[in-house]
Amino acid sequence: MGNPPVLSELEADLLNEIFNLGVGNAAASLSQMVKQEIKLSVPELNFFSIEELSETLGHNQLLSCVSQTITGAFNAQSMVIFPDKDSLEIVGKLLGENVSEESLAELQDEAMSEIGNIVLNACIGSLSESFASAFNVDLPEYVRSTPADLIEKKKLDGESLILFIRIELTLSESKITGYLAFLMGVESLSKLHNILKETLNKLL
Amino acid sequence: MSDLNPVIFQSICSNLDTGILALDNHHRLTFFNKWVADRLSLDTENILNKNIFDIFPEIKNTRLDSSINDAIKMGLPAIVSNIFNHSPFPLVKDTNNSEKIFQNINIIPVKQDSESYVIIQINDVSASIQREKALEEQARKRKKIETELRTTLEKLNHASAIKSDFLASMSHEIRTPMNGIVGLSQLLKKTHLNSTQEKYLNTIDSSVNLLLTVINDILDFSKLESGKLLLHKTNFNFNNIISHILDILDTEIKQKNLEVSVEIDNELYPQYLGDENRLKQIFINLISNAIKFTANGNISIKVQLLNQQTNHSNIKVTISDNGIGIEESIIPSLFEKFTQADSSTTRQYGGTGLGLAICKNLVVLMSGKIGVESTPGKGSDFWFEIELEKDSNTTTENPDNTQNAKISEQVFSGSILLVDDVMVNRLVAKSMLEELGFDVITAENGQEAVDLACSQTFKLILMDCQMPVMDGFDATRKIREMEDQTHIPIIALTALAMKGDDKKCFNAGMDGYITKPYKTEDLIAGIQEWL
Repeated sequence: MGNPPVLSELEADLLNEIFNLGVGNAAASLSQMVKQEIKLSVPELNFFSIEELSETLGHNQLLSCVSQTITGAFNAQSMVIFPDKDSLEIVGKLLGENVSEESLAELQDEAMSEIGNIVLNACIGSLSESFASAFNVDLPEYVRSTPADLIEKKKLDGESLILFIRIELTLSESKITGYLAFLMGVESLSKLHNILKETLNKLL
Repeated sequence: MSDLNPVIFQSICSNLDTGILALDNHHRLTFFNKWVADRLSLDTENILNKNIFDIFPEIKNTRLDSSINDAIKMGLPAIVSNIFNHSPFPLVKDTNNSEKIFQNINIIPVKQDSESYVIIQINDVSASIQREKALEEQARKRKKIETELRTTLEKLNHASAIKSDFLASMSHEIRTPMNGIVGLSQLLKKTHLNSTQEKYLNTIDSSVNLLLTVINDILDFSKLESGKLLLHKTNFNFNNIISHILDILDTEIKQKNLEVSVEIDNELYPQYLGDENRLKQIFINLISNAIKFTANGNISIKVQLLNQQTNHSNIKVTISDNGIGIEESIIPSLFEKFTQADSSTTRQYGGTGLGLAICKNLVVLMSGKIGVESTPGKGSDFWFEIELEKDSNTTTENPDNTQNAKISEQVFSGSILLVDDVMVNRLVAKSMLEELGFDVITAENGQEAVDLACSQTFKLILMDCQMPVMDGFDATRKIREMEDQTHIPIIALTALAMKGDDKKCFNAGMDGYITKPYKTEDLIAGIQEWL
């Protein structure tokens, strides 16, 4: 396993700000789309190993996950993750009370895919604008599984590290915790670190 | 992929079951396939190379708009589902059907020679939306039915509780006067009567017996229906059961001049364990049916061993008659409650129509099965099969019968306290007891009984349960409190005949229990053990 990059305080602040901007835009798009007020914030940003991710999310926790592969200035598997039951709550709240539980379960995949797509696109867009560098991005893919299965399905090697970002989604009086995860190889991580440095240099 | 022949490309696009639109980075429509053309509710002739927002002004400022922009500017792909974005493009089923299509849209950015393009792929998800809606409707309907069922169930439970209470009180109210009729007609038989009076009295007697059977049937059935009827295991043998039943039905058999043959398998175990009284009830129902529906001829009763196991025997009982028989179409409903083979038979032959339903329920309770084979005009074979546990502590004679014979000849003596608030009941019991040789002192309520028990010594107390001033339960408790070394037998004489009533008596400290109406034999059977 590679070591997580040691970010300076400024670098960490910048990365945090980029994601804050991204989720802020995502919240605006979501609010407009469902005509409800949705708030998103990024309270915490970490680098995790795959084991640590599994521990944090709970080994047997069923997760609802939307992922998009990005390639470009660095490569990553970007993901939006919510505990499955919470994702059902989100979809339920967004669709209103007239939808039965059966239908909700049927709509969950599709609805979460779009929500995840909006959040990820906003974050990728924010990274892209801040770094003045375009990414090639794949269409979103929806997976429901435990953390172990998720990593298996994504065929990640043991060297990968995860840029792990806790997000808080506030929606009609409920606060729901979800996660953004950017799974990256060692090389991509150091590329990200370099880009952060360069960007700061340009700004300062 | 190498360079694709434009003809092949066109052909692929025309045959796709999905809509394809392509835009350049100035939002101009550069391509649309046949699928889109077939479904667009506007003139497609001059739309190529026009700005997409001019062609479809309805998508301006929607998520589709921002997604297209993000794809062009930043190369971000997007999915725009019908869940949150209702049918953004004006697409219909076909030119003859103006029903709108529900759309799931993928927005895919493409870069070629530093030029950005956007492919918009449209899928028709109307079918799954409709399925969803049908599901939703179904769920709503089911919920409504569930609520209705729950309400109905509550009502039914309430009605059932009322029925049980009603039956309990009816049972008591009917049994009390019946006691007077049964007892007094028995006593009357022992006076000097002329032949006409005797005939009338016999008719009263058989009418009362019939009425009693009906009441017991209804009570039994309500207990069976509510699952309150429990089986009590005793040891018995089939010979005794059948001879007892034939004794009871002797008058009816003789009246019709019927021949009855009994065949009991020699291989049967001498004694079995089971609920003898309930088995008797099944026998009596089936045999009296055979008698009822046979004008003249034979009735045969056959008990066969089907299968012998270490601890159990499988036994089949068949009651055959050569009576009126039963139409085949009626047989399936024959064991349902309130059914008789022909509704007109109720008038001709009498009965509540509960007999066979009770038999079926009892046989099922014994984990057996019951059925009938019949030919109209020739007769019927009613049968039931049950598994019975062998009684290993077998004795060859039935002690009950010999004892009964001795007791009925026996002369009793001693003083008995009889407590009952109803004059007729006191008269009946007093006469019966005096005839048996007892001295009888009477009391009209519990308080009087307690006072008498303090001042005099009795061999036994017969105690009614429901009485004014002090009821039988309280009186028994008071008497038991006063006793030190002694224990006077107290036997309940009561019209309370529902489940649990016996327990109430024992809990109050009583030793036995006789239900009204009773005959002299029942009275002897109920008290002999305590003398």
